[in-house]
Amino acid sequence: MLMKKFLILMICIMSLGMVQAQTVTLSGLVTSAADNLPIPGVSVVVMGTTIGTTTSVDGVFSLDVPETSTTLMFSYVGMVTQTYDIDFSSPSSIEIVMQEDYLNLEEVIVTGYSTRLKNSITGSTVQIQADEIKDIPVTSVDQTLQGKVAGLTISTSSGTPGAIQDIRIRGVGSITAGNEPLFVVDGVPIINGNFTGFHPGMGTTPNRSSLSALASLNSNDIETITVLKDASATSAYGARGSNGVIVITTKKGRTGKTQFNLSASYGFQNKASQGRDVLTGAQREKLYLDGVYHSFGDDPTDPFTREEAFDWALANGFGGAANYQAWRDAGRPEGNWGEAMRNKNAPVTNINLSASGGDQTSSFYASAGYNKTEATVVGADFRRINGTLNYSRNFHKRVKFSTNNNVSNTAQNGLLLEQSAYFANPHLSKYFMPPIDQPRNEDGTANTVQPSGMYNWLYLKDHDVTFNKMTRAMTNNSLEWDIIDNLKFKTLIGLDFVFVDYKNYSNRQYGDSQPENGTSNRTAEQNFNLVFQNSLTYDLNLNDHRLTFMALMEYQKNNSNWLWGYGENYSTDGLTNLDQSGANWDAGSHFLDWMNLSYLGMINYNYQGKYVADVTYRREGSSKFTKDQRYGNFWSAGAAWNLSQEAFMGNVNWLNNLRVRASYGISGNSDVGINQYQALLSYDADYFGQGAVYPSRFGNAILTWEKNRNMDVGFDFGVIDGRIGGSFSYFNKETYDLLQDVPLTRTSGHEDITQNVGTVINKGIEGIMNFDIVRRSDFNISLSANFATLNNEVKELAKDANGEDINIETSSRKIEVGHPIYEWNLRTWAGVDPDNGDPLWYLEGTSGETTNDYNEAEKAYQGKSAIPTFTGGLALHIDFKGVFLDANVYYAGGHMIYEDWAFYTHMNGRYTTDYYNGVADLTTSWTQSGQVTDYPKIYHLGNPNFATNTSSRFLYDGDYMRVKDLVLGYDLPRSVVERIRFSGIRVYVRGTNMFTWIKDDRMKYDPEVRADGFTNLTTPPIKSVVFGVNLNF
Amino acid sequence: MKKLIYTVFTVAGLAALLFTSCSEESLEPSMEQDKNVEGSITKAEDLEGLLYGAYDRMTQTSYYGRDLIIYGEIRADNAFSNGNSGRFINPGRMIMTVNDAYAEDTWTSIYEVIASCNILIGLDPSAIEGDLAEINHYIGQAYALRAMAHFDLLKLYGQQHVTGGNNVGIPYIKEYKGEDLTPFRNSVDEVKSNIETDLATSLTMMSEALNDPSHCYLSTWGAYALQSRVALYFGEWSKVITAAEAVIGSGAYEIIPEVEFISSWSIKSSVNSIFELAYSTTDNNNINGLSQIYRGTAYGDIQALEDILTIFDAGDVRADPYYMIGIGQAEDTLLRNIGKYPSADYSDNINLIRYEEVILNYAEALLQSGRAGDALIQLNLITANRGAQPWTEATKANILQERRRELCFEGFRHDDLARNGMDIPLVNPLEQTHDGPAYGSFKYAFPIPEVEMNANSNMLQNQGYK
Repeated sequence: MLMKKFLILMICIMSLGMVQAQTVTLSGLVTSAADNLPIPGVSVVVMGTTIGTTTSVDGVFSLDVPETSTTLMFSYVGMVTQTYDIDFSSPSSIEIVMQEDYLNLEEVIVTGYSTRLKNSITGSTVQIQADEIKDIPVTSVDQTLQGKVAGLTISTSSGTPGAIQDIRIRGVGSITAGNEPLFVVDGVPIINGNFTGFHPGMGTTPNRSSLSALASLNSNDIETITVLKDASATSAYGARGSNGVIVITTKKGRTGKTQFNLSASYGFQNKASQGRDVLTGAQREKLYLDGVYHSFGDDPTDPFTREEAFDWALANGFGGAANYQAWRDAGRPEGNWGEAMRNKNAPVTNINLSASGGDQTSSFYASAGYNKTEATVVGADFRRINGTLNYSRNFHKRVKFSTNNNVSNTAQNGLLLEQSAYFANPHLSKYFMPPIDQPRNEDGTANTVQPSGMYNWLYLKDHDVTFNKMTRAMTNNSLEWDIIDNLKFKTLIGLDFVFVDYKNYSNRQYGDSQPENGTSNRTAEQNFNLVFQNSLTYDLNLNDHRLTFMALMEYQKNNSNWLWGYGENYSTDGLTNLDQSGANWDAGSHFLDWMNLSYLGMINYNYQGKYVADVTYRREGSSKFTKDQRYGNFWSAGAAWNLSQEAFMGNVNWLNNLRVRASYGISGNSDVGINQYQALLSYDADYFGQGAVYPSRFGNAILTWEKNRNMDVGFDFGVIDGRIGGSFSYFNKETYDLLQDVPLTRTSGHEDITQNVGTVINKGIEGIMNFDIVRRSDFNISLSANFATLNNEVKELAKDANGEDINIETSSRKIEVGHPIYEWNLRTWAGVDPDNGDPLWYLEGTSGETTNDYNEAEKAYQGKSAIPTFTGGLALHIDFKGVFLDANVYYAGGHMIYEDWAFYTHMNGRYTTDYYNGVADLTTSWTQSGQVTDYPKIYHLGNPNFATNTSSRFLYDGDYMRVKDLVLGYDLPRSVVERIRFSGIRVYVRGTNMFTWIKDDRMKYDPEVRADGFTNLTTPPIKSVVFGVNLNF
Repeated sequence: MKKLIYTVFTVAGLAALLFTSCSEESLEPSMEQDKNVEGSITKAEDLEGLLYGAYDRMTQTSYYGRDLIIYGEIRADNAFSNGNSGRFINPGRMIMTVNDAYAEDTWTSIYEVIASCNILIGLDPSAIEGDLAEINHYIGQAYALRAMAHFDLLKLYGQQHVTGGNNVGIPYIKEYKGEDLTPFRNSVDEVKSNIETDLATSLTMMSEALNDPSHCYLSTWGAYALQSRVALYFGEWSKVITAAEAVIGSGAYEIIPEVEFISSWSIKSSVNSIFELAYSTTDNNNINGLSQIYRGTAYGDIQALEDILTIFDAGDVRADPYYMIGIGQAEDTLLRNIGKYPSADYSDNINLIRYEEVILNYAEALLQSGRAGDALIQLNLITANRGAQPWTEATKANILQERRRELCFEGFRHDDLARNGMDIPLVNPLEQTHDGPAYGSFKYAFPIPEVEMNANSNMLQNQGYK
């Protein structure tokens, strides 16, 4: 249906007659005012047309222009755009001198649906250029934004290459609905999900490393990333813009001779934070015997001394003592599991080759890239191959066609069990495998005899097969038609196809699948996304009043298909597919879809560049809501006043730029699961070989959008010739009609009901300042700093039938009116009693009387949540005669982090001394009266006295500062480079996450954690050193 | 002018063509997996599907798939949790906090079964297409399952064995998606009388002719057996006798003879099985089932207490050291339940009601009604088929010991101790971690889960928990 209409449209357009006009050749030279040198690559365009060219390496240009042309426009990044009135009577060559644009006022900001000059933006946006993000050795594009955008925080939920990141713009507004921003690539909203191989019918949550759809984009192909934060920018995205929008544009061709670029880099990675030290076998044995003595030494019927503890335990048949005896007999060998699992200096390779070129009527950009990243533990890696072809052509002087295509194939191998308690994960081996057990045999092979009962990853990595392969093809095709001079029509079709192939074979000799004689799982997931956009734009110029009108329609449809197969019982090793499995086959399949339809109208008013106003209105419908509640109306209004353009400011020379802006609007969030409003019966269960049906969802017939009221005011300024500049904004975002999974009484047979209820406010101040300290042609120093504060508070929650708030509580956090979302709420640790080694907690609040009974102590609010209240970044750039240094620092603070797993690793009982391993600090555990320590007395019990249960003992201040990037490089001088017919050669060494400062010295793990505030033992963030070279020719 | 007309026509044409190309109908999502509750239950087979859904929910790990059975064994003197994989530590200590996952998951899964039953019970049988007798048989099973589920909830969460418990029971839910989303806790007496009413109703709706021969669905005899179990718990001996005699009189079951005892645990629908939950090689709880927790190398948290070997006579097949209770296989050197739920591929059915339990219920009720002689005859029917010495006298202690021998590792022991007002014995302080609480301790009941307390402001927490 849609395709047919698109074809009809194309035919109509192509049947327009082509009008040929007479042409005259114009030529000239463009130089720079700063150094009188010619500037290559300057765009020379006939105003009002698409006829143009670029200057050559010598700054020379030559262009055939129609006789009817009036003006030529010269533009170049970083330079003030110049116009030249054509005088056909004078045949002499045109000389143009271009001025540096220190203020970047001519900078074009891409806002997704339109592009604007920086001066006419009324909202809060930040744009990152290609230079700032290319060559950063991360596997997915979103990781490059860390620290560069005020108000944007990225939490690395996993260091596994390709894993999804938690991105938050201006705080957390939603409790149940998603908090992820919308990603738009080349004008098309894309799916950005987790494509780990699992399907909903399997009934379990994904327990393997995640795979982000963004991992399929190559940072080297990206031209700009714009982060849209406030209503006037995001309302255009209506229902999905409330968490912010990240707009990515890929590189397009440039007119001129074909330019090639080859960049290659190779580097080494290690964990950014080493984590905790663990007990050695000898230390663990001592603690074990302490525990035995403390628990049983005083028994009047059979007392014994500390020295006799080992013999007593052995005589009484303690399994642990028997294990230690075997260890002693073997000569007390220490098993170093951390080292055994480590892939030291894991290599990361990146190669990228691109070409771009074009002429008057067409231009192209093509690239091919390869990335291979090994994990910092053995047995896992990531590989991506991708190719891009962006091509545009003017079919006609009024019709422009462009197509952007990107194909990629990413593979995650040796996927690690994550996101849950899986002891076979190699990152956990250091903390859980007993040091008295050995990872390898004498001959170097993996030791499969493990008294602890846990499985040795060294064996599994070679005999199990686990991979997740994603193939993605994205194509955006658009046609722009200038109907008359100021009226433009654009139609666009975007297709995004993702295919994910997941396989997990567990071998039959050793591991979880040994009882079944080997198992194999295979999932095929297909996701198809279609976007169809049509828009009309009209520019109206009345004297100095400029109005731009845009009307746009967008339709998006998404299908997902899963197919899954399972088999067991293999008769031989090494064959891993379902064909070779012998029994117990199972299979499943599943289909889901959702659709979106919206109409958007935008008006932009600009008077002499002094006063700017923006109004947008969007009406959007989504299939995720009930028929009556399907549509939502979202609007925004923004205004800006460029004071520096006013006449009365003309004499103030030191003030180059001053503008104030404000915006207000409503956007929405529909990021909930599909079919949430329906009361559903599910049919995917079975009993005794028959299909079984059960009620799976309570349903809510009035479910609708979550909405956001967004207010933003700010000002931008630039002084002293642009050497100091900055912008500040205050924002206040109120999220209401929150999509919340309101807890239900479990006696209903359901756990929750999705309702629109609740209000959360996020407010704060953001600012960015730029300082050009030294500015000379061969020596520059510039510094830029950004910061953001955030105040988050829950204003309203759902109420039950008795009018009381239904608070949402977990064992460590709580959502309650008057507190930030998920403020830490747990028992407060009061240390260890020096007299008897008992753990202590405060009975109430965070001070006062203490008790050694965990159940007696009350939970108390700890004052902070996992959301940082202050984040900031600092960027320093120095260059001197071709040598350059870039440093990027990121700071986050005002939040608290909980050490997940501390329950096990710090246990003052058998978990650490008998079953698994524990932290080395346990050697300071209390053993005698009067000893002051933070580690309570050890007993021979699983969990003696709840000392490691959830409490503030493991809650730390999350404040940290990290040097994210440090780059030292050298651009070879022009003269040298041109001799070998190249246009640029750069060599550099880049360090990522090199140095970290952590405020709370009790925090030994990496402070960069998931957005929920728990440290993660599984694949923490990475630190790397990369050597690279960049060639332009 | 020409330009203006040209423009207007083009724009109008485009607008008409493209801006209206997508209509509102294109926003209906496909429903390919699930159906709306409304309008989907019209035929007898729909009821059948829902009933199977209720059974399937009983097979979950957090209900009869593993947890409920283990609670009954470790909060007693049969077994203990050795913490090998960190499972059942807190239930084994009988010290749990209000956000304990076991308390929460079991509460949730049992009420899920009740919700499924209530959908069926809420239907009007005459409005459904199909054979009325069949429809009533399904609805009858739903009543019986609802009674059984509430009974299990009461035994775990009710305050009947806690000093100062004030006769507080659990909410008895009779309607799916009813008006009341903040139910109060019914008293123990109310719960008991509702259970009895439901079981009686189920018997009027089920028909003997439609009893499924596989024993994987509740039958009329299963409902009678449940009546005997419930009455036994509350000490209503005459009701036990009536119900037990109905089962015995059916002639449909037999006590498994000695030579078949061991193998009866690996076969499905043996002659002593009244009601068992169905599992298969592809439909099972895998490592989260009973087999792995009793014996597995990766889990294997539940170990038998040595004390249990002392209650058997020499030659008793139930204590066979190689096949029933003995040292584990391979590298395992610990005392284990080997014989019950044995299969390494996790495919065994879990027997919930056995004929032998009914006989023992009968024996105990006879004794309590002053018919010691008859009680002894019933008691020795068991010993005769197990290679044990016959009892010379039927006393309460003997009957309880025989129950312990026969039903060990099946989840009955804690309830047998509690209903008789007995303390939890501490037979091995080195291995058991609950310190042997005395009868009346708050530890005899699980805490009401915190998520329930938060969502339901009418819910009261149990004694001793906050």
